[in-house]
Amino acid sequence: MLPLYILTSAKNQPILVELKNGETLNGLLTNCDSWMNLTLSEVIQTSPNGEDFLKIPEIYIRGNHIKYLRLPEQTMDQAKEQNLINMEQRNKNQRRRGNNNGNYNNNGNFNRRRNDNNQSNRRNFNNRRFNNNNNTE
Amino acid sequence: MLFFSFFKTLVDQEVVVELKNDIEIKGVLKSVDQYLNLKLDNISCTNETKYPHLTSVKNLFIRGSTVRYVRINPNAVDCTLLQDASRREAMQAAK
Amino acid sequence: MSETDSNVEDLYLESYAFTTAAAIVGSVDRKIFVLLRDGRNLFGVLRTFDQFANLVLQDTIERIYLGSEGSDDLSKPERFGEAYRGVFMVRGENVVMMGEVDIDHEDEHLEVLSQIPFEVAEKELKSIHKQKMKFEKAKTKKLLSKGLINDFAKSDLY
Repeated sequence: MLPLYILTSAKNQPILVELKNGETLNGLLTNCDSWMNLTLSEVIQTSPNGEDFLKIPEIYIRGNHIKYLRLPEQTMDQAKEQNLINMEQRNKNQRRRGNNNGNYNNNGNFNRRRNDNNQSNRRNFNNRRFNNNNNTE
Repeated sequence: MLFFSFFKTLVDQEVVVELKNDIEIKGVLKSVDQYLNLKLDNISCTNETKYPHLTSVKNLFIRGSTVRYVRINPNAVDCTLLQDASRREAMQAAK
Repeated sequence: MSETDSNVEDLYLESYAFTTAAAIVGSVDRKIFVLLRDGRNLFGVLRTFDQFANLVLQDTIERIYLGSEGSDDLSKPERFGEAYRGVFMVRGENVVMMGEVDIDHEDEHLEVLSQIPFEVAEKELKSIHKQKMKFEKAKTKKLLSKGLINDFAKSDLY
């Protein structure tokens, strides 16, 4: 699951965007695209020094101006659920059409680990992995 | 491309990376990419302790654009090979 | 059948070995720290990333390290402030460096530092940055008058 996928699944959620110049924009994410350009609605814009505020009904943010975004906690879980549903749909369709032959690299998604059970020799055995359901502390 | 290939020959060598904020980080070069981002293993900070949390960090990914210098062991570099490669690149660029 | 599969996978791994993604993929689902260009230290669990090194961190905390009271020397931290941030998506170009944190030792360096409220730390850091900007501006002017360039970017406060 790529970051832009998670962003797309966060549509209609409150979001905080900090721009490269330090301005922050708080609002609802209405739309996003593959360049991380965003449109937000019901936005409160805060100046870099944290003193001036502006209320804006709708705003367009160019992706290359973004420093970071803060998303609500439930975004990750929601995105994972959506992903599971989409995968199940895809598998159902694949089975109906007949599996892809020679599908060596899992749809070319480098993010996903191929052998979930095997420890690749790249991994450091002392470091622990954090399951999404467990707390990190 | 030239320096990307050059760094690929330096994998598993110990290097010292000096960032643009004057911080120096020693480590074993494990990976490089086309943007000259570096991945170092077994790192240690050689000058300041501006980032005290680095003591508990073993691997680092450093963005290429923030690097000022990469200090390399001179024995790891074949200068004649580099000269040839640069000449080739220059000829290609001239075409 | 499994042997041929693993051989092909090895080929893929070799050709993808020197990419941004290959350098980051090993850190997924691990606790990492990220240093941003504006000097922020973020600590969180890396959930996902892409080829631009855009990162999604979960359970992120932001930490500010400060020198002793009254000094603006950030190179010898004595105090720190923390704030919980939740889910963070960082745009790749703003990352200076990131690394896996050893969770068994991650809090050791904090034992010799005293914790202060985050808002206080933030305020102090802001004033330090302001001073730095003033200083660098003057430096740039002076060097320019001599025909030299001062390599200082406003947004690079790391």
